[in-house]
Amino acid sequence: MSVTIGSGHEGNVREQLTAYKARVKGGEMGALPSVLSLFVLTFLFAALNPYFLTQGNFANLLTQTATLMMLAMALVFVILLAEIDLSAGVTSGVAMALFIIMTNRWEIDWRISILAGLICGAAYRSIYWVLRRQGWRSILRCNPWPISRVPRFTAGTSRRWWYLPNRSSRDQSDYE
Amino acid sequence: MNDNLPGWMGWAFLAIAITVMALLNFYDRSVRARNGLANRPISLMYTKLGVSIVIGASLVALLNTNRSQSIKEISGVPIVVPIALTVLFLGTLLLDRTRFGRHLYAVGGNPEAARRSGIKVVKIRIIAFMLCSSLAVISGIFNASRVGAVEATAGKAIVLSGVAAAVVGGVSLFGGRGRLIHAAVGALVIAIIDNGLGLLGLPAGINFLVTGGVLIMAATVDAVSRKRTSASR
Repeated sequence: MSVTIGSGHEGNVREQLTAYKARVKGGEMGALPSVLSLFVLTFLFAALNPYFLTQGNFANLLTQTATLMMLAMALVFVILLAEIDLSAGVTSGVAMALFIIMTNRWEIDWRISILAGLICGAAYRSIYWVLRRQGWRSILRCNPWPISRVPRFTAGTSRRWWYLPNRSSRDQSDYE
Repeated sequence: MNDNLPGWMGWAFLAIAITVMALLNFYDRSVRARNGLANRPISLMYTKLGVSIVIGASLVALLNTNRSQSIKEISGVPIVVPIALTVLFLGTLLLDRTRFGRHLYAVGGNPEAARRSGIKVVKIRIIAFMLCSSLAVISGIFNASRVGAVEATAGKAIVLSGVAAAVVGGVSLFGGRGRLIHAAVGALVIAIIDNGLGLLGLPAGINFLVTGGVLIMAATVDAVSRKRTSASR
């Protein structure tokens, strides 16, 4: 029996449950496998090691997870676009270094250090924005001396490989 | 960072979190009702709220007991937990309830369709990447304030664990599907494997083996379930 639920809000409890089961069967599992494996792993490690289920280890686990959790949440924004940001880890490393140096060596207030780290991260990423908007070729388009000295052998068409066409990446593609 | 909240503050945070959750739910229901749309049965909502209250209260109660091995008392919810939960809440709000979030899902699902319906795809991409680095900065600051020191290779190895965490949690590598809470749960799974295997005293290589195996399984589940969804549509 299949229940079609239009917006996902119709139906009583039983129909909602049936629809949820159908969705899971149809492949939309969401976080279900990871929640299940969370339970399995907890029982497994608790059976194997008595220290695992103590409050001390639990609190320890939470503080250990926080870094990874934040990074995974950062990557969601990019993975949702079917891309991967390989520089996220290094960005967090740079922020780590900046934060430690600002607070420990320069003895700046930690709130200002956090703000500086955030600005630094966004600014570093906006280099990508500038290059996207202006085109990667904008670096070369300034036509420095050695390139301007290259002789042009043929008259007529001027789009040789060293003479870069004066158009932005916006003309070429709207979404890449 | 390694500090803990005082006991009452943990309870206060739990109360605020539950209240916000309930208020948002009631607000949504009233908006849907006002516009003549169907609502989910209210008993489901109460069940969800009840389960979160029970889980949250037991966690706070557990963390508020003394967990010190020596004379000095250590108790309370670690201070990262409220910070991480706040970021999670704000990010979910951004993804679920703003125009930017809708556009992000649209671009992830089908960039060409999104472009044709007038979404500025390049802008969405750039904002997504900037958000990603800003959150990565927060993760770096978490790490820095936990360890209290930094080395030159900091953050080199953690990206793949981050991707693994997101994929294990059910965020699709093919884009357009997944939520922030999924990544958080996935990160918990990866961290529990790390922590538990470390306690068993196995060599470090085993840890990578198990994490890699879990990642392969998650990616397979993702690919297979995607195939199944596209077949059923």
